[in-house]
Amino acid sequence: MKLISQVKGTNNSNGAILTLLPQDKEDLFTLYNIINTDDEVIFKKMITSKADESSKKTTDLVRLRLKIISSDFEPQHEFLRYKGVTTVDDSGKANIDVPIGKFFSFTVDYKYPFTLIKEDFNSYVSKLLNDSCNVEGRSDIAAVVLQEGISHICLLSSFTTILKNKVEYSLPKKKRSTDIAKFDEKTEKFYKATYNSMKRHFDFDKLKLIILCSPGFYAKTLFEKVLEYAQAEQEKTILNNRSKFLVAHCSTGYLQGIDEVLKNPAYASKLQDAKNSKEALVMDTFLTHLNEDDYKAWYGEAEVTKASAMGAIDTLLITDSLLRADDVNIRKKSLELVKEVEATGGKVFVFSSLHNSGEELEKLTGLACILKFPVPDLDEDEDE
Amino acid sequence: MPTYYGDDDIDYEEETPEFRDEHEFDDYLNDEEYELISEMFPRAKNELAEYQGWNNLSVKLALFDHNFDYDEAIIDLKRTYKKKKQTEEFEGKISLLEQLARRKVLSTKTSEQSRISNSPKATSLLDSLRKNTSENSGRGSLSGRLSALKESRSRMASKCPSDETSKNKFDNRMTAKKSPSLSSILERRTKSNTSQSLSSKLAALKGNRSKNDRQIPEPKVEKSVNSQPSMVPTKDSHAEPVDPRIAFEKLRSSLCHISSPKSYHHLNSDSEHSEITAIALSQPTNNDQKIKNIKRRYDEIFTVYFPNTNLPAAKKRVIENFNNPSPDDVVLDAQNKAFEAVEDVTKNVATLSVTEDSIKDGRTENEDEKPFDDEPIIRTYKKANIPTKPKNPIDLEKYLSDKKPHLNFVVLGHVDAGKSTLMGRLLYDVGAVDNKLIRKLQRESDVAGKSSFHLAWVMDQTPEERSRGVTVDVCTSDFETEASTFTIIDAPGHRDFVPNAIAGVSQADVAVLSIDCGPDAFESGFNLDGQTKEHALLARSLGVRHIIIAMNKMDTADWYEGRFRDIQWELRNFFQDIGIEEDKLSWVPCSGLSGEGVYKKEYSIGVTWYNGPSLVGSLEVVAQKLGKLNVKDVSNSPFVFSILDAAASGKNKDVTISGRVESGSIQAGETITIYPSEQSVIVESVLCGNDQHPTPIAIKGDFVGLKLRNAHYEDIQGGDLAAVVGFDIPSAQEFTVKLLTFQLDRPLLPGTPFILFRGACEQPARIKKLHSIVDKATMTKILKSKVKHLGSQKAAIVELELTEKKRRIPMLTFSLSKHLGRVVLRKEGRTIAAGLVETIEL
Repeated sequence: MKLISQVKGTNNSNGAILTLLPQDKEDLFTLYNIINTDDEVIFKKMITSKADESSKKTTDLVRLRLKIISSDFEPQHEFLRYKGVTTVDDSGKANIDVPIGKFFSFTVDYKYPFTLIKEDFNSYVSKLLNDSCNVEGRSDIAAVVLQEGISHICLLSSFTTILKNKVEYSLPKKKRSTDIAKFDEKTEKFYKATYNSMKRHFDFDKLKLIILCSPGFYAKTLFEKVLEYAQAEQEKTILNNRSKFLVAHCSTGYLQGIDEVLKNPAYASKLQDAKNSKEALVMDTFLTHLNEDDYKAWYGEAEVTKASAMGAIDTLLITDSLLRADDVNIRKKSLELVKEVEATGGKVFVFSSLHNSGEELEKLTGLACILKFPVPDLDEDEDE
Repeated sequence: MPTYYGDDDIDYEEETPEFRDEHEFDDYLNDEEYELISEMFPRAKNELAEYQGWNNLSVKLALFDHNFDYDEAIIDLKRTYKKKKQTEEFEGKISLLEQLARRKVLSTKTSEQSRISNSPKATSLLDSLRKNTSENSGRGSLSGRLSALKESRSRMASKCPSDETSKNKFDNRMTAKKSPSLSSILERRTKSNTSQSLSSKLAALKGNRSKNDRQIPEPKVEKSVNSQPSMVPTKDSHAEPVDPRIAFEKLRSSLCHISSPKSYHHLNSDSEHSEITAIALSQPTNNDQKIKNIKRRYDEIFTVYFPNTNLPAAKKRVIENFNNPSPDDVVLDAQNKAFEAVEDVTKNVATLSVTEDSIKDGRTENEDEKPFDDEPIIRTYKKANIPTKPKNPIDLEKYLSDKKPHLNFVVLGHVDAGKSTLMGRLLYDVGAVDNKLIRKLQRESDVAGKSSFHLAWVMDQTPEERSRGVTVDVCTSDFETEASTFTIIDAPGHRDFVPNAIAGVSQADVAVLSIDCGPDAFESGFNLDGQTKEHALLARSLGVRHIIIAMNKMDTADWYEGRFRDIQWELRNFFQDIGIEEDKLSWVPCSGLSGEGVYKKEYSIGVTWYNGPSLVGSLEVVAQKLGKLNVKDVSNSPFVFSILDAAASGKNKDVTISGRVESGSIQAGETITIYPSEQSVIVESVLCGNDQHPTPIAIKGDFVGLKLRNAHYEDIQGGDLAAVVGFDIPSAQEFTVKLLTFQLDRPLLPGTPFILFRGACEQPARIKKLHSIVDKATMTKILKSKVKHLGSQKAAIVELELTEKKRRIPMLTFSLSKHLGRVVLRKEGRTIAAGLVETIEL
């Protein structure tokens, strides 16, 4: 993302006016996290209008200022759209000849910058913005997780796990009478379909790593097949990038398999810069504590708030959906919690709700913590 | 043209081998040829009105063969076909609906009858009339005709919603009253196209739709036409004789001039849903071949050009797909038999509305250019409600008394415990595999340097399995002894393929647990990460009723009794821990490679400490105990079938599903419904044995293949369930289970993801809610109701949900089926819990 200009709020509020140009899907996700309801955006849009009944329709490029009402985000299609209503513009540049209170949609694209007027420009927002403007921190990883007859073609990045395609073939079960040639043919078809899907969805030159993982030897076979097909088709982009492939082992061909690889220490060196591998590890530590029942791991809002008040939190696990909640109070509360933990020397991990681990945390109320020391009765007090 | 024939006239073949129908031929032509054909064809048709035996395709082919030389083609045609003496009777090919419509028309309009019987002459007469009118009125009449047609159509459309519920009878009559012109056209069609079967009507419905689409931009046309509204009523009467195809053809071409294709697209999508069904319902009999032609043009003009799908080969395949019976034909097929009463017309109408859906389905299938396919959706079909009778019913009681007890058993054990070899040996000794094959395998394995694997290769056939020496997938095989029949399910031992093993265990009544008694081998398989324990747990969790422990590879331990006893002692303790009683266990020392203790081969002289039955002997004992069924068990329970695998075969959309009969019985001719796709199909034959020979009946516990005709292979997966019509199996996304956790590394929390297994069905899922922890022994007493997390060795009531939103798996509660109401959860390659399904949230 490009931050074209930034004007801090004047009247000692913590508002800010930002001009932004998103560049890729990561930025869309950042924007999705940054832009809350009641924020305002200024942008240009082609609008077809009819002044009155008799005159012809005209299409003009109009500068609009909208107050955001709702959002619509589809990571698979790189599609982010906001719904908003026009508001008063004090600068006099936007909303000319457009009545106030009219509904418009705003689809974010990569071509034109837009201005965001944010009332609460907090530390979380500014951190996100910094992260997304810093291109070097990017890690683009692709993954194919497969098993017999099923493969998932995904793109992983720091914020998202996007399932690009799922290939599903029902392979015949072998029988004493089954024709093996037929079986092979089907298997071949399956690998070919997976390969084609990879070709369609992966930009091999830009990716840093391509993980192929599966139980058994399917991943290895896929790797061999991919090279074989690429050789046959003289697909240079794949052949030149063959060193980027990592064949890994996991127990299942479903998306959960990727998490398994991410937290497997055997592949850690390869996956250093994948942010979500860190998250997967933290989640795993949390679960270990919970399993040991050593009273160091707790989840739930009440428990975590209490622990934070005691200054006992070593690691805070929080989902981004809390930090971008539509309710301002929840947003504020969560942000305060993050600040508090950081002030007492704790670490904070913001889990992306678009990852498996984030999804898991979301089901656990979205808040969890690992304590510095055991507190056995953290939940009991709260009952009384 | 009939594109699909019912069962009765399956042997009816057309004389041209390349093109099965006119439509296919039309698609084969290029634009120029098509233009020519469509110009000449009506003329030729008129010429040939007095001849019999020809059909549209043959005429077109003749034109085509004579390089579009019209005169020559006509001469040739006239030579080949005889002059007509009387109208041909196609009575046999009339579908039910048509018969009905015909009867209706006969009763209402007898006067029309005379005119219709010599319809060919009438058409030529009418045609001349048409020529006159078109000459006279020129442009004006065309536009007038358009508006007249439009008006009658829109009248139909507006009327139909209200008529939907009333019977077809009424429908016909009312339309006959209100729009006389259109309905008389309808009637004429019904008469002249009597040979058309239902499926061709579907095609016509499609045509109607495209017609309908074209109607939408019509207001634009009307603007220019509005000047002569007085024409409308008079045109109405003219429109009757005029071939509507021509009117439409012109309408289409005029429209092409008026608006651009893009605007069509817009309008199409909006109107499609609201109007089509109504029209389709009201005009089930209006199947106009020519409209189909228009439809083709429409497709060509307004659909995106896909370089792939427009290749001749691909195109041919697509057309073939469309020519195959639609899902509803299958249903209708099934219904036809039970369908003597004609008052069920409403049902017919209802199914017709469903056909609309299936056409849409077919369409979306072609749009594979979408950037991203969402999670695959299981399509559902209309399920039948009326059971069908078996073709040759047999006496169940007699059959059961003659039948040997049958047993399905799965072979489990740690990797390299010799499961496949043991089974290969068993099959060989019993005589289910002949010497020739064994010798061949021996040669091959010698070449590969794995001579000890030759027996395993009987079951491990894929190159991958052979080269790596591990079993990957389950393999089933049947054999028979004097006392009983058996189905072997050879399961993989490697931990990565435990999912396949679960599928295998779910199909079995009994497990044979193979233990490697070689030095240190037992220990490595028995320790924490070995599969011996996991497999035993799976067997227990999935309701296996008896476990035979095959102490395999005893030859490597020199048949030493001490070794046998040591292992037995350790295993006994373990089985006690997981709650398997001693009377459900039997122990057999054996060697798969040498064959001792497997079937009839004697133990070596040293083995004086064991004198029990051999492996096969033990299996026979168990089969006698568990495999005997009485009539009540079978006849009182509904037929339920768990599918392990589906395979497509042949051209007739034949699908063979193999799996286990869970309860009840099945005979050829009965109708079953497959869940979750809810397609109803007739069982054509029941196949059993290695050679898949037909058998009259399959009963509870049998491992058989069911050959189905007109099934949708792509919507059947391993793990699906099938049941007899009338017994519905709910498909669920969420359900509550009584869960028993095993040794866990990490606790189970709300949201914890895992892989759920229900028989051969495998799906990612997660915990939705932890309800309560209950007492392990009683499973009812609640120990703790506020549960934050679930640790090892606990029993709990838990809500589960599937991760993929659109996925549903067929389920039965444990109270309904002791076998199918069980689930197993695995996470990160380990079995973490097993559960019994309590309730299913629909």
